[in-house]
Amino acid sequence: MDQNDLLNDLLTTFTDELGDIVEHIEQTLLIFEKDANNSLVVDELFRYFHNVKGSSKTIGLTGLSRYAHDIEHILSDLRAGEMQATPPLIDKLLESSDLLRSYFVQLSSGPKEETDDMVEDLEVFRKEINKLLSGSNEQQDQDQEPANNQEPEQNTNDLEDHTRASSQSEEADDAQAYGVFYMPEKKQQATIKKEPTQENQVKQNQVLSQSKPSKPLPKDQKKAANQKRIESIKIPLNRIDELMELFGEQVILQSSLDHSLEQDLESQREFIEQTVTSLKKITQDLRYTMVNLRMVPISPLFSRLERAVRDTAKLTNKPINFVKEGHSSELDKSIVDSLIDPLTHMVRNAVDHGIEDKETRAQKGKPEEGLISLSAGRNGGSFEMILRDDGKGLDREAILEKAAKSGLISGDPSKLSDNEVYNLIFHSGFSTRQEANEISGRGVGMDVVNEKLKQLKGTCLIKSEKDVGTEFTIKVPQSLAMFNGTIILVNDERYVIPNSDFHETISLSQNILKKADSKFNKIRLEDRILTVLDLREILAISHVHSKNKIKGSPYNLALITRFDNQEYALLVSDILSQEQIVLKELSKEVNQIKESCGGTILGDGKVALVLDLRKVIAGNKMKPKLKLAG
Amino acid sequence: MTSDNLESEKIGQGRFIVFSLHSKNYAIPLARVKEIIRPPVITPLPKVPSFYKGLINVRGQIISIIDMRLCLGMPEEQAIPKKTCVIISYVGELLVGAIVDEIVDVTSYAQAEISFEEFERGKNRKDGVYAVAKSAAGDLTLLIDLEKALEGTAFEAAHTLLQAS
Repeated sequence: MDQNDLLNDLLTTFTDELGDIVEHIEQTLLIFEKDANNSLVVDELFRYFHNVKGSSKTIGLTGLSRYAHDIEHILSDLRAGEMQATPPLIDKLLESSDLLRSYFVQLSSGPKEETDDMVEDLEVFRKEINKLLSGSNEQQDQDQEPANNQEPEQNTNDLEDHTRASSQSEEADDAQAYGVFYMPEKKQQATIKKEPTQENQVKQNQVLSQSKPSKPLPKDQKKAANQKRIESIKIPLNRIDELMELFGEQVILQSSLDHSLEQDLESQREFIEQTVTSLKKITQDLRYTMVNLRMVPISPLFSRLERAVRDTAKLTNKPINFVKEGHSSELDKSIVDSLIDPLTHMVRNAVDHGIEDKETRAQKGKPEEGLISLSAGRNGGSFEMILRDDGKGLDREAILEKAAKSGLISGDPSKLSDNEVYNLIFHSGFSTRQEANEISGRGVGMDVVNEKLKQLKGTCLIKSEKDVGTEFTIKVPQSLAMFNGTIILVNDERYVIPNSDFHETISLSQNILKKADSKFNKIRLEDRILTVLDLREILAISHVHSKNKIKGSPYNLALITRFDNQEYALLVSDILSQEQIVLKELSKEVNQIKESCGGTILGDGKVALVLDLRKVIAGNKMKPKLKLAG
Repeated sequence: MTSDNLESEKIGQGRFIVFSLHSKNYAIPLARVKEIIRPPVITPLPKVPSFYKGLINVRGQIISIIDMRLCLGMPEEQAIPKKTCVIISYVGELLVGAIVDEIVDVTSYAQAEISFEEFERGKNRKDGVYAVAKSAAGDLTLLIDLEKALEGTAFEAAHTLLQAS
């Protein structure tokens, strides 16, 4: 049992390490591609794979170890000059890091051991590498290979058996070669799996259930495995020292307070006041430092994006210069993680849709190489990322045409502002590309981007100019646990609304409200159409507020928010203040209140619900049908 | 806390905290109780049944609070000042605060004092009462399972009600 624990520990450490290594490998490979003659870079790559080989062997991940060994072989050939760093070879190496990544993802989310599926992927790849090594790398192999990799699950049983058998015999060979013993578990599994051929039905069932772990886990089981794994981040030691120091100070202040309480309070008054002030400051610092503990550099995100740009550029045959700025700035780990998907999609879009092909660019007098830049950094209380391309820009007319066709808009489109038109691309099923291709254009992208950003309480602003380029400004909070919020009063209770949820506050006159059309509660304000929702009614506490007791201000204050391209005015009793809000998750019985996304504790110690305006609207709007004008 | 442990508490071993509701005494296992506090400021919630009083802040932790009287279908009464208490205890996995009229005692019962019989038949009682304990002085105390009391009627109703809305 003890040895198992040790092995488990080692495995966890290794898994964390592997995640880092994969990032490094990919980053280094991208440098290598640009600077293939730099032997230092090859050395570095070699070290990474060597590291993987060594560590994985120690903890019994033999498939991975064999894989790393073969790649190491290529690298050492490269280093010795026996092989040339040709583009197909570099592609292959990048592919190998992809494979490593998917291995890592499976290892960290799944069964905590090598499964046959995982090894199989690696084995397929190894065979190709070996062909490459023996000099028989022909273009055909290159073409065939990706298909294999994308659909590893479609392998037939025969193939599985074959690979497993061969991997076993190789395993034995390897064992001799390296003089390392192997964990016997895996072989047992393989033999168990063969038993279902027996006639005994009961036994077969048993066996099937036994052999499950080596198959892809069923969903709920996978979930359980996910929950078990504790994510970890690296924290610089000085941050922990900082925390210790602050905490030490707090303890001292606390004890001097205790001490002064034992004496005559009146004479100590000034001292106590001073101490409380210092305590307040330290508590604030502590909070700040704590929040910072979750901050990680966003450079891994940048290298993922760089890779996406590179691959897409290759596929579309567009030379791209990817400029990144601010990749060492820091952001909450979970935000960095959830930004990966939407941003990857956006840079792919920028290459595929934004940048024109070489010929068109030449015609327009633009440099052949497209420019995509990504900058990141803090801006006020939030974190801002700006993605620019110097491509053809968004086509207002094409977007409008498409939007009209799919029924997204009605009425006179000329009334819409550019920004409103550009925002239409965030709708599901929207793509101005005539035909879908494998990179983008299926029209399932930008709405997912939008959804993801909204989950993060982020926003995306689009600027675009024809033939000059497009600029996306993405704003997310620096930390999920803290955000800028507005405290509002609804009836007698205070609620918090994230500032990112609304963009305007107005005061509606009674006259305008009276004119609201009775069916949809729509009002016209100059040239805008607003749907009015009364938070005072929606959030009425059933046994306290009857309809006529709803409290309002004489000014009819309302927050304006946009949802599905429609503007909503949410009437509140009062708007109180703006504050930094520390979000607290609520336990599940409260989560059922659909209007809220959490709670917070206000300055006076009272609990307040944090509202999610999108959920408020989604749950209470009467007609979901979208109409922009008319 | 293991489930074995819990089971033994339920059948009457271990210590109990006794509280009163509408002049009746009830008891729950002490081991499930985290703390007892004076009624704090409550933030009421929209769209919840009336027994679900809202949220409170217990040293930075946000906890739901329920009114035991309303929960068991008793009349809501203006709190008796200074005696009303909130028992914060684990109900299933949830930490929940329950408003009771008064904390009466912390005690343990001898096996002989507890009778399950009356409740065996009505095992599916909705108020969660599963046994009665008789003290030496002849006072009766109902042993109540809060999880059971909230099940079906209370929180679960709140869930479904909210899910429906």
